[in-house]
Amino acid sequence: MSDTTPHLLSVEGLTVTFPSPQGAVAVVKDVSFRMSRGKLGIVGESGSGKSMTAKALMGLVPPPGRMTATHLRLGDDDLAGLNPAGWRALRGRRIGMILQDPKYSLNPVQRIGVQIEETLKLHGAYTKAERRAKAVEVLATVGIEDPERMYRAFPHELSGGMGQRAMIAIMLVLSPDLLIADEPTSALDVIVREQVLSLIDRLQAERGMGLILISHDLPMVARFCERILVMYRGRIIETIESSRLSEARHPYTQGLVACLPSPTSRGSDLPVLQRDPAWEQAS
Amino acid sequence: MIEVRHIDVYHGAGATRFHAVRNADLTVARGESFGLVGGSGSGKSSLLRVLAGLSRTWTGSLTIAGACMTPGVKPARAFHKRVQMVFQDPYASLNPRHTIDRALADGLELHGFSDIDRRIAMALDEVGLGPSFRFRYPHELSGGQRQRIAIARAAALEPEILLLDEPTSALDASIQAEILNLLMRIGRERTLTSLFVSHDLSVIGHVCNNVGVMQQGEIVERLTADDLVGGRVKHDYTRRLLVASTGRSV
Amino acid sequence: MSASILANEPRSRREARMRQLKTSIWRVLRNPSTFFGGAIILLLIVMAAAAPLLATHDPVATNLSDRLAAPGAKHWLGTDQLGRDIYSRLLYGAQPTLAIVLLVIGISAPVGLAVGLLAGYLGGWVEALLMRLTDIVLAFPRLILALALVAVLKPGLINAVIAIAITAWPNYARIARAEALALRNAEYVLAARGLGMGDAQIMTGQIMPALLPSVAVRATLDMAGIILTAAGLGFLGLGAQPPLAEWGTMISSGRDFIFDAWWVAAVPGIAILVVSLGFNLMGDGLRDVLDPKHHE
Repeated sequence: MSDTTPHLLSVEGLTVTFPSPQGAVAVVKDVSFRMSRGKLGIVGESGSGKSMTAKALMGLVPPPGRMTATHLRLGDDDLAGLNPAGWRALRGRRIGMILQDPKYSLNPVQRIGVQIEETLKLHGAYTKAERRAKAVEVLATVGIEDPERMYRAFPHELSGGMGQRAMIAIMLVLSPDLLIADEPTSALDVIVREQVLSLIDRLQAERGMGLILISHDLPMVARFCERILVMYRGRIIETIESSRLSEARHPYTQGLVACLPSPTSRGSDLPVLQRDPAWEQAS
Repeated sequence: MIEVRHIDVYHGAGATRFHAVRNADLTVARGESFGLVGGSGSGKSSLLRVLAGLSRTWTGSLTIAGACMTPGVKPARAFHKRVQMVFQDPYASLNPRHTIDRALADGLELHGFSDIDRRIAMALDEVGLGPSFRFRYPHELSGGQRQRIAIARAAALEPEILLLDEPTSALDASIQAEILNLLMRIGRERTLTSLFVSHDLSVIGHVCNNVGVMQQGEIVERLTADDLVGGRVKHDYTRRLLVASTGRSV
Repeated sequence: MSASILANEPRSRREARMRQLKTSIWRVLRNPSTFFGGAIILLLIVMAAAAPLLATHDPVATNLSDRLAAPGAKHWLGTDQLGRDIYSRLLYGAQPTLAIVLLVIGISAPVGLAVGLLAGYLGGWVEALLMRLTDIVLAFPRLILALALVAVLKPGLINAVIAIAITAWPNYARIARAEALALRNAEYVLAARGLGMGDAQIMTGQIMPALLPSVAVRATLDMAGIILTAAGLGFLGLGAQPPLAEWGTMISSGRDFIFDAWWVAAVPGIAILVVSLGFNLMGDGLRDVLDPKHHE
């Protein structure tokens, strides 16, 4: 990682805690990383805190959770002390987020076009005609063949893949600097998964935005991102270049790589991950 | 062990009738582990449910574990002892109000087993869970532990055929490895015949000797495990599945 | 004994059941709604059971020289237009009130549960038939239907119970059907079918236990309504017949003197209010306690 490229996002000491009868419980612990306008993957199993990290970066930690960071910057803006209004102004315009299932993240009673224009209305002064033109244009960029028809469609009329494209369109219409995709394909069919991923890939390259891809699927993230953060129980335990995954140093990362089945391992037992309590401590 | 001839499966009726499986042919020999792979809506789960005797809206001829099934007719109870199934979602396939003990005892009592107490203890032991799990409720268990219970429930009946519907796709990779190891060990020790359904060719390739690829209700390609290792696939859809699950293009 | 229960894992079916029971009781006691609701209901039961011991007067003995006496040392809660002691009548009145509630629930909840379970699980023409029947009954306002039924059956306590029960079951049927419908294709029901279980076994063993909590909650919430319907029938002279003390009838007889002797109607009115509150609290609390998602 060269220090000459300006950082798009820098995070230091990001911690998310939830109160409990036994005192505050941290679900994200002291997470620090920096990224430029490239592709960063965050990988972890359930309970690793990867989704909560994404939410924290959008200022969307659900109450009564609390987010703290010693340092949190997007470009030249300091996000650490941002109030709710400040976050609202940021979301959609500078940071976009794609969630797991378009079935739940799209408003079921509004046409796709209206939902795209909604974002434009919130953040800018466009005329009605401009908004419509922009909406149709962005639908075309996400690879929808008949954007006019999509503009008028309701979410339930769309397949999972099409719904996710619509979601991406909503998030991209304001050309954010950073796109956070939290398990964007895990509700989709395997084949459609590839199409959506390559769409995100293409858009990232064309627009030069930063992308954080969050998933439990290590091979997928490795295929897609340049650099991977491996999370375990709220902590980043290893940061590794995707191309050097086989040289992972942390036993957890090694275990995640080794336990994957494949036709070549047929009939043999897969190595089982032995978890070490020491992994949960800060190193 | 399993003979599927010209089977068509339908869902719903009238104008909304959906042709889920078209003219499927399949033969699985005793002790073999056969994999059905395909995307969502490919009909693989629909076909599996017919084999499990859980779906009645089909046509064609089907012989499974020596029983010749008739479309539209509910199979006899004894059929279910010989053919058991494990479902995809370990959070949904166990009754949240029943203890693990009850979940295991139900099937054993139903099929007239004796010394149920001992069999439950053995079944738990076989799937690597100790007696301490016996009187817990499903919500006290992790996803992987629940899937072990579901496997124990099926295996306790000493079936000849085990049908597996995406048994690991709701689990983390490290837990998936443990469950796959467990399934393969049970298959080896008991010479079970199994039919494994998944969208993930790398899982199927790891477990199965023979593979059928399904797309939109049809079996479009048949492969052996060696074909998969050698990348000898012909159909474009199989190729795309292979890329999707292994990242390897052939 | 206590050591084995405190041990980390239960070792037998009995022990597991006992522990489950203990945690359930503990949850009921710890929840403020069920605690206070339960206390009020317990008080009602004690009142009904111990009425002969607690009463200061004969509830049906009239004393015209003492009519409409204000609450005081001699008559704690005053007397009615026939000089009967209201405190004693209130205690004795708890008996028919409680009996009506329990009988109505005892008849309507199982009927509604069975109808809803069959309709929701079996579907098809069974469902169409049962649910149309349910809708027809639901279409009538409850008190009007009960009134009509009592008018046909002859006024009286038992007939009031039958009439209210006939109007009360459709609510349970609707709830049970909606839940049975959702569970019919649940994966664990499919798994039970895969084990070889028949429909009857699945309905009773797998689906019915899951319906019981919402039916029980609905029942406790309904109890207040049943008391009020019974009181309404009593008020109109179609429920319990004089001289039997029943809260609704008591209010009804007090309405003529509401401005001169407020206590005649107000005392049973307040009693109905408090008991309704108790049942409502119980229902609200049970909803939380019985919901498996709330288990820690």
